Amino acid sequence: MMVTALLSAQRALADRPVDEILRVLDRVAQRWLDHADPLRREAEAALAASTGLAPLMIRHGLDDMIRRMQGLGDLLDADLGTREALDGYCWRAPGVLSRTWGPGLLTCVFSGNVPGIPAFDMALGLALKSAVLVRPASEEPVFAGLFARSVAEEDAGLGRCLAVTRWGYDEAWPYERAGAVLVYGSDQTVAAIRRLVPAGVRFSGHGHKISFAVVCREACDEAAARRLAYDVAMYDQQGCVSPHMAFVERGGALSPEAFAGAVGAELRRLSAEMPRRRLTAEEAAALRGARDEAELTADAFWGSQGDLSWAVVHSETPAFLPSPLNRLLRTFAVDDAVSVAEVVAPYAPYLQTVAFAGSAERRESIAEALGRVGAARICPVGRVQEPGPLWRHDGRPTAGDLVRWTDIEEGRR
Amino acid sequence: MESELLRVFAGAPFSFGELALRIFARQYERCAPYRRFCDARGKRPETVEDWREIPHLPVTAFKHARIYSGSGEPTAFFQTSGTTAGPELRGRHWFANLDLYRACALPVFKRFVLPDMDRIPMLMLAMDPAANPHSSLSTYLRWQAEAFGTPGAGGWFVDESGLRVADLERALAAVAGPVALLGTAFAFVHLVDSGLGVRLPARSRIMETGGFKGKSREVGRAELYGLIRDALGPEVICINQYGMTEMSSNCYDQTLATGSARKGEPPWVAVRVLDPETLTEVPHGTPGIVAVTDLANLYSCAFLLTQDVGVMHADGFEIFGRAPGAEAKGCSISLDEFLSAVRQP
Repeated sequence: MMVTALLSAQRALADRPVDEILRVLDRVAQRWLDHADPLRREAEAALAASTGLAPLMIRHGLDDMIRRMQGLGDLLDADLGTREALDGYCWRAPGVLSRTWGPGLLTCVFSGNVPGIPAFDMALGLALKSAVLVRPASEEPVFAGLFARSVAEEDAGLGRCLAVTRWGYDEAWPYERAGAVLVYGSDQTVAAIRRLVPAGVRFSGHGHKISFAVVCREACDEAAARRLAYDVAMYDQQGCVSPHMAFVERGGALSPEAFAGAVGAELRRLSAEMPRRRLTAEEAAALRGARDEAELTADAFWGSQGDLSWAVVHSETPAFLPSPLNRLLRTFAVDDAVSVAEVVAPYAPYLQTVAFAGSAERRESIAEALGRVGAARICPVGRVQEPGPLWRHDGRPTAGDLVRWTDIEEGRR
Repeated sequence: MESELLRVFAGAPFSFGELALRIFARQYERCAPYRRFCDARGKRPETVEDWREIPHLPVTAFKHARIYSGSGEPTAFFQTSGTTAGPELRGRHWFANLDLYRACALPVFKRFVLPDMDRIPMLMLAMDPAANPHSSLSTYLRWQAEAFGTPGAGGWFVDESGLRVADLERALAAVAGPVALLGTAFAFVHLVDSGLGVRLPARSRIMETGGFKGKSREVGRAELYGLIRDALGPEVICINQYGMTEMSSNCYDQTLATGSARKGEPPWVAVRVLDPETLTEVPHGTPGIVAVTDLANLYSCAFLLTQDVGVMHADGFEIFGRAPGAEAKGCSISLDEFLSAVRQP
C-alpha cells in the first residue's frame, strides 16, 4: 500500500527537471541551516533526547549533514558526467548519447550512530527522481520523519515521494519493488537484509568500518592534536569515519607521546564542552574493562579521573587495535608514516577514512600506500565528520551506484 | 599477619576496615605494579583513611604483571583459563605458600555447601589436580575431598578428552545415600547434554562455578539448574560458587546457609557493587561492576575489580556475568566485535 502510493507519486516526479528538484532541496537545506527554525529546533531537541549526544555536537553534526546535501548538484555532475543526463539524452562521447534513470524507489535502512545521515540519502533519492522509503534506526527514530516533513512543507509533490516507517529485519516487502537498496549497519545487519533483496535490485551496504589517523612529523603539533581530539569526540567516536587509533611519526615538534598527551588535554576540554553520552551499566562496565586493560599495557596513559569520559593510550610499538569507542584513542609511534600501510594492510576490508596531518608534498605518497591497501578517503585531521558532497562512501560512487543507463549508439558513419 | 588471618578464618572477631588498611599498606609497599596503579589515582596508605577508598586493581592486571606481595619468591601459582581474550594470555595468581588459601577454603565450603553433614561422597566434574596442577578449582576440590569426602567414594570425571559419562554413571550407581557433584558449569552442561538420567538420593547436591565461554553452549543459570534437575532428580540442591583464580576466597549461594538463593561471602571478604563510571558504591538493587576485597589475598592483592556486572540486595548479591564487550552502533565497529570478527576462520 505504502509502496504503491510512493511509486505513483514518483511518476509525477519523473517528469520534473532535475534542476527544479535541486532548487526545492536547496530551499529545504536553507531552512535546516537556520538554527532558529522551529523544525530545526524540534529536531535538535529530539535528537539529543533519543541519542543522548551532547546538544552542541548535534548542532555541528546537523550543519555538516545539510551542507553535504547542498552539494548534490556537484555530485550528480561528477558521478553522471552531467546532471542533465537525468532529464534526457546527453553526449557521452562522440557517437554515444546517454541518459540515466534513478532507481524509481530507493529503500534505505539507517543506523543510529550518526544522526542526520538520512538527510543526504533522502535528498539524493529525490534528486535521482525517485521515491524514498526509509527505515530509521530504533535509537534515532525522529530525524528522518522531520526531514520528510520539511520537504513536504516546501513541495507537496516531493513530500509524497518520501515515507518513513519501521519494519522488521526479516520483512521483505520494502525491497521487492525497489530499484536500489541502501543499508547502514553492522556486517550482520547488512548481510541479513542483502538476503531479502531480490536479485537484480541494486544493493549498497555500508557495514563495519574502521578509521584511523596518520600524523606526520612536520604536522605533529598542538593544533593537530586539538583537531584530532575533535574527530574522536564527535558522536562519541561511534561514526564509521571516527578514528580508533592514530599513528604518529617520530621526529616532529612534539614526540608521539607528547602528542598523545596533547590529544588527551583537548579531550578533557571537549568533555566539558560536549559531554559524552550516558552509558548503561553494561556499556560502562565493558568500557571500564577495556580501559583498564589498555592502561595496564600502555607505554603512557591519560584518562579522565573519576569517570570514563575520555582516555588516550599510547604505545611506542605500532599495532592495529581498534578502540572500545566512547572517546578512547590509541596512539602508536612510527618512524615513517608510509610504514602505516604495512600495519593496516591485513585489515583491508575494514579500512575507511584516514585523518591526515602532514605536508601536501608527502600526502600523495602516503595516500598511494594507504589507498593501495584499502583506505577509501584521506581527509584533513579535524574534518573526518565533514565529508564533501563528492564523498565516495566506502570508495563507491554515491549517486553512480544507484542509477542505470540507456545508451544510443549512432554507429559508424 | 598470617597467624592473625588464620585466627580470623577460624572465627575470631576482628575489625575488617582496620585489617584491610594494614594489608593495603603492606601490598602498596611490596607490589610495585599495584603501587603504580594507586599512585596514578593519588591513593597512598598515608592518605587513605577509610578502607572503601583503597583502589581496586582490575583483575586483568594479573595477566600483565606479577602481582605479588609475599616475602621471598613465590612457591606456587594458579593460572586463569583462557576465555574471551583467547588462550594466548593467561593470568597468574602467585602465592608465597598455600597455607592461607587452604585454611580459608575449608570453613567456607563447609558453611555454604555442607552445613548439614560431616562427609559426603564427592564426584568431581573437574580435572584431577595431578593432571591440572595450576587450576585453582582442582586444588580447591581436592582439599574439600580430603576434608569432607567419604573415603573410597567419588573421584575425578573430567580428563583431556572431556567428561567421562559412563564412568560417572557407574560411580553414581555404586553409592547409596546423598552425593555431591562438584565442578565447572560447562561440565554440567556436557553432563545434561549427555542424556544421563538418574535420580540422586535426597539431600544430594551439586556445586558449579565459572562461565561457559568457548567450552560448551551458553546456558542461563536458571535454565542450567532446570536441566540438572531434569537429569539428576527434582530434589537436587544446586549451589553456585562465585570465585575466580585471582581470589583466595569464594562466595556461594546461601541456599543451605540461610535459605536465600542470593550469594554471601565469608567475613574476611567484602563484595561491593560500584558504578562502573565513577567507582562509587551504588544503592541496593542497582546493577554495577563487582569489586571484591578478599583479605585472604595476602600474598597478591586483596583489592580487586572484577569484570562482572552484579547487583546487591539486603540478603545477598547476584551476579549477572561478565560484562559483554561494548558494541558499536551501526556501521562502526568496536574492539570486541573486531576481535571476534577477525578470529573467525
